[in-house]
Amino acid sequence: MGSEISVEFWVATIPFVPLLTFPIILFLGQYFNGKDWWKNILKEGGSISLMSMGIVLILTSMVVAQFIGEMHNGQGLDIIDWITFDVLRSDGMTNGVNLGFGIYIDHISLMLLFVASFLCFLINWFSIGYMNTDKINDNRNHRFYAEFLIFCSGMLGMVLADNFLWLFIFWEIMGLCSYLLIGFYYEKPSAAAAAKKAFLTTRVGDVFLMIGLIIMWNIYGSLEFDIIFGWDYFTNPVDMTLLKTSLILMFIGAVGKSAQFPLHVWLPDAMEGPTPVSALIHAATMVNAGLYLVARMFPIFIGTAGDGLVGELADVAIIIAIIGGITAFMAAGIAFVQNDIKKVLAYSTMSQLAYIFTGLGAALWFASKGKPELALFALGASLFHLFNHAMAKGMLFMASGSVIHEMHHAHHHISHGEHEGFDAQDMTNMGGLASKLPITSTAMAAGSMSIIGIPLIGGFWSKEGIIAKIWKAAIYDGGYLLFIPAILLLISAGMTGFYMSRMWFMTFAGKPKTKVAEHVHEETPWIKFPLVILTFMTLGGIVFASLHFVSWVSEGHAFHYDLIHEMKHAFLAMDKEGVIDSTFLILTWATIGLSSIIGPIIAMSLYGGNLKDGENAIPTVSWLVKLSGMVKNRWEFDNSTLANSGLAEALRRRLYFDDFYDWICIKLIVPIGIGAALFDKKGVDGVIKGIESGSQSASTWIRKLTTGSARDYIMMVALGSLIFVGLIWGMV
Amino acid sequence: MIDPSWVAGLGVIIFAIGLWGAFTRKNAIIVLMCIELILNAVNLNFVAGAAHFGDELGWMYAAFAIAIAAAEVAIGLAIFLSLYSKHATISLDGLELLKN
Amino acid sequence: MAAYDVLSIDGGLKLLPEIVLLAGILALFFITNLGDAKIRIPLTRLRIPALLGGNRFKWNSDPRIPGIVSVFTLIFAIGMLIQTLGDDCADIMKGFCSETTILTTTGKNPVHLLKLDSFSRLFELMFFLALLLVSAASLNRLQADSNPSNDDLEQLLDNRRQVDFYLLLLISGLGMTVVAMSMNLFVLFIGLELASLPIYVLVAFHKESKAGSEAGVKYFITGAISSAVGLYGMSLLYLWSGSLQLTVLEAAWASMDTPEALPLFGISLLLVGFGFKISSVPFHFVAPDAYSGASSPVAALLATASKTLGFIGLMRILMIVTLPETGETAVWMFAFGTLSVVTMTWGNLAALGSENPKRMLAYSSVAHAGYMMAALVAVAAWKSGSYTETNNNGLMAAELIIGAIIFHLFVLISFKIGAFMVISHLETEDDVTDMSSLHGLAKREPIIATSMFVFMLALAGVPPLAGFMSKFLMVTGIVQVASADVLVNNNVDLIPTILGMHWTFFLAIAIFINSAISLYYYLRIGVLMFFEESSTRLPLPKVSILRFVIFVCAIGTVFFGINSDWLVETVTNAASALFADS
Repeated sequence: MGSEISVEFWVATIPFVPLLTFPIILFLGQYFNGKDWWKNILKEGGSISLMSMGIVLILTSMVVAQFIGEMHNGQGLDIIDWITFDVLRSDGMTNGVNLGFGIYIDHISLMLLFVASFLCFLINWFSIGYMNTDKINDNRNHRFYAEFLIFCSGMLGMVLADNFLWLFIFWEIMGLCSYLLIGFYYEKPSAAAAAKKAFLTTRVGDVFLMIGLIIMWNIYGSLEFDIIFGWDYFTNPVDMTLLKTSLILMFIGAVGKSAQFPLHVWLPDAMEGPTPVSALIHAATMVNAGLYLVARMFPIFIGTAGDGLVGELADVAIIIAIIGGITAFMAAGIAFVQNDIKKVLAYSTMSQLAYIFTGLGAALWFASKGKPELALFALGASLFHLFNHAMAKGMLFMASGSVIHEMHHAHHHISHGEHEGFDAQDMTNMGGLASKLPITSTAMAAGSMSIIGIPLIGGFWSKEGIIAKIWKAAIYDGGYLLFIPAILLLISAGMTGFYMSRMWFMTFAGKPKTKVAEHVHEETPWIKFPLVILTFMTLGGIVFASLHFVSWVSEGHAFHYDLIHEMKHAFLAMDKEGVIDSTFLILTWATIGLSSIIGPIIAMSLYGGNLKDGENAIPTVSWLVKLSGMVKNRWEFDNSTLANSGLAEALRRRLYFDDFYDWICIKLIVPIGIGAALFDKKGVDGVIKGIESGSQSASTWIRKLTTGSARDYIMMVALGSLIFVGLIWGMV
Repeated sequence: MIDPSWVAGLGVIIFAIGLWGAFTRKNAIIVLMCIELILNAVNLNFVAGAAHFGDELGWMYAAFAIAIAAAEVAIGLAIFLSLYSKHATISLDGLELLKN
Repeated sequence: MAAYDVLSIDGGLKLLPEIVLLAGILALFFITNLGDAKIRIPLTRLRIPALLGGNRFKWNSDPRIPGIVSVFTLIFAIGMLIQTLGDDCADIMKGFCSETTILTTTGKNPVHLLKLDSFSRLFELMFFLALLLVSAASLNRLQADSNPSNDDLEQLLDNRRQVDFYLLLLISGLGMTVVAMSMNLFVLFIGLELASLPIYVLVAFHKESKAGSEAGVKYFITGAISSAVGLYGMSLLYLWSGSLQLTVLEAAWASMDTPEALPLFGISLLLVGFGFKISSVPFHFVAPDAYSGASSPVAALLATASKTLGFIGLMRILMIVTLPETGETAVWMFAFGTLSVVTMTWGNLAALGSENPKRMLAYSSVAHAGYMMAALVAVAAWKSGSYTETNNNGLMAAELIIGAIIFHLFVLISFKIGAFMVISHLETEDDVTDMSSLHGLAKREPIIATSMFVFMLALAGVPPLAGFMSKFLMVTGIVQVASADVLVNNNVDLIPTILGMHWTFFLAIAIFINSAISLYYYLRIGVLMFFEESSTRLPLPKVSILRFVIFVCAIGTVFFGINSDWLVETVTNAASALFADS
């Protein structure tokens, strides 16, 4: 046990490493801002925070190496006991409550731990290239790194927490950091507004989450994972309606955090923050918090079904899957018409997260129906997609950051510092960058392919798995409502093929659309390394799956055996016994056809094209460019009627969600707010002022009794003796 | 032999006189004397108790109480002396520098 | 006459801390009085050195020697304390667990006068820690000039006074240990006087100022009367039962069928004596005067060690002698419940508008006494409800609550002394008479200001600091008792159950409301330090030992809030030892 205990200790230190580092950066930054060595050697705190994240990454790797493949049943470990006390439950029994900090390790938390620390490290690396070379960030990057580190400790702590209360606390820390980082350019009104919007929208979800947690506390008398997951529903029956309510409320919290319909409005706006922030928070880690929360419900579903309450919680699973389906479809639709490169990625994030939610919905569905084997497969597929998506999307955002950064530099170079009227993020200003940004374009191509699900590339395996599982749930297990997400996901797969391709070709293929785009160079240091690393991670996602990172390929066979098995499963819909299921065969190839062939080809024909004469792209992507040129020549068609139609306009206006919410705010919430403010000012303030002045005068009066005269004191002693005698005598 | 309850009764009277004097007199030394009266009432009780119960410890309590009273007087007088050197009075009235 | 079975060697060794203290007192006396005086042998011209008296030698003329001797004595005593405990314990970290009877009479009724157990050892540790912090902080406080000219009489006298100060501190410490160990009310009283008399002098020590001597006189007079009244109560108890031995008194009390006047008067008057020590209403009046007139380290001693003395007395009396058989109501329950609420409210309200930091701390100390008194009442309620359930640690509610009180007294040493040390540090610059001394401290001395803020938060009971932990334990204990079904169903009190709760529940509510009130003035200190502008931005004079003490206190405040396991275990052990006495 000795070595294990030490490893557990190291696990618990993980969130505290960044937590202890951030004040250092903040203080040093405050004192040494503007000094040369601070800027060049310590990178305005970037080096310190990179070191801190490096330690986290090493610790995480240690932990993962220790526990990988053995933690399918979670294990909670109390690290620090702070206060322990009893809580009286309504049934007369007591629960011991420990307010200390503990960690909970299972394959879900291990996976997220790795994703978070790995991406945080790379994005920190990227930030040093991105943030420190931007003039606009001068002398305030220490603030960025400090906030970045608190955010990281929030994420790591949330993943490791051993009860829902700590999870919620770290969840809120992330929310706060998200607000700070989105509003990093607070002098820009749009950034300030976006920060406020993100904060308030996620707050709506958090309120529900909090209520859900309170209900859960009421049900179980505890928020400890160990107690809740190990609950015996035979001997201690719980109110299932209440439990369902609580789970749904918690899911609403997840919806807010992960930007799902209908609380999705904040995510696109959040792209106002610096690009590393978008990469880190709004693509790779924080939005996964919602998924993590839903995945955490999994043992509850398994537990209830295992204790004979089969199907009791199926409704919750259906709701989760349907919300996922709707979001996947809607976000993909909106992504069709976006011209801002980061906004496309934002909607793509929403859409892909929705895939994962749907997959989790399927997993929970199977779990509640008492089919833990299938449920584990669905959970594995979802978590694997989370992994693939985080890697790919983190990279895509960093690559887009690289594009934006270089566009910005080029524009700066050309226009000599006049920034007005030029949008470095607008893809209609780009085009033909494949020759100028070789590494970025390759990375972006790999990331897009992974998101689209081009066969054999990272995201393919997991997306295929999710679609297969949700269809399986819909067809074989009588969940008719599940056909809605199943069909929506299938269509969205094709749409993903279109909008991701569209983004790539608009940016990198064709002729440069502006003068700026002609002058772009890939020159910023620090940016390339993370892109290269993540390209390999993205392409080889399946390798990580077979490392039993997720319970996806569940048997412990050799890698090639697993791979072959998996291929058979994915391409031929063949199960373990070698029987081919024709329904799923059709489904598989329909998905592949839609997403990998039809979607990209339409995108190529609209936005593709060869580069400017005489320029050549790097071989890794030149075939893509050439292919798009061929397709465009062959099948180019005019889409202006469609592009100008009402539907396109509606999509451009984001399906009017923002207008609708604005309307609600102005008509409903603002008047209430004004009324409340008035009440607060007149009523509450008045009462509080009254209390204050009242207690002040009471204090003055009571202090006058301390007259200063020793004789009075003596008299009070004598009087006090009498009082004691009187009270005690009177008592008898 | 005198009945111990008479001795204790005398103690009550002395205690009452002492307490009364302590909060009516304003000369610090007289207050100190009143405190001594209380302590003497205590001694009477101890002695009476010792006689009544035949308990040797009671005598000892009385002896120690006398010693404590002596120490208290010594310290009290020293403190009053420092008061006198600064305030030129040992009246308990008018000591109102510290209040509220 | 009674003969005493004085100290077997084994038992004597257990008294090593006290012996060290005694040796320290003697050392203090002798070392500082060594001189070159010579005695001429009569009828000869031979003069032999007498050592005591005359001009002091070079090496012992440094005025800092007394302080250093005192600090080392206390460190050594603490070391001995830790050394002598745990003889019967497998694991020292399990708290203090050896139990020895030290002084036994061998008369007709052999009785134990002094006893060493977890309870007394823990309190000794607390006293030594408090004294150590206070004497360390006083090292640079009194004006000490190492090379006084022989003409400067004032200066020479000041140097001599150093000895007095530390001598008084150590003697007081000796008295405190007696209080902690005593199993006999009179021995307890002797210890109390031995501890109090030096403190009277220490309060008046600042005799150059009018305020100092005034505070000394007031504190002395009021204290002397209170303890005289208390002693009179004690003598009444003696008249009644024929013994002042706690166990005998307890048995007599338990065998009393109908209430008798003599013991009831005796107990009431005895409570007056201890009520003054803990500064409960209405015996608290002199406390703010004494605190503000005395020097800050002495005030810190008043607020911690002196208060602890009173609580030891209260626990002995209330928890051993008069705690009734299960199912009966303690006579003092209602009186004490009322007084506790009055005390905490009075203290907090008065502190609210107080403009002098030391007086504010004094009133806050009154309020804290109220909290602890309320907790004592809950124990009585626990008995009266014949409530015997245990919590998850297997502890009875009474032990939990008493443990909480001891915990509070223990951690008070860190943050109360810390707060006074900050003020002491401010006094190195100028007298602290109102809040303006604290203005803008954060800009002048960020670390000290932060520490002060930590102390204030701990006093207010903000998690995760030590003050929260103790208050939390007390309130949980009270609520646990008040909500027990047995208590509610078999209600035998004057006040009927309300809201399904025993009336002691309102003590918890009172603590709650009072904590809310108190937050106002504690946080106000923070506001003053961090947001007000001060006239100067220069840092305070560098007094490194004082800074070190403040730092240690701050660390302790945070440490015992976060990692209280050891302390909780120790205090509950002490509480069990208290109940095991009976």
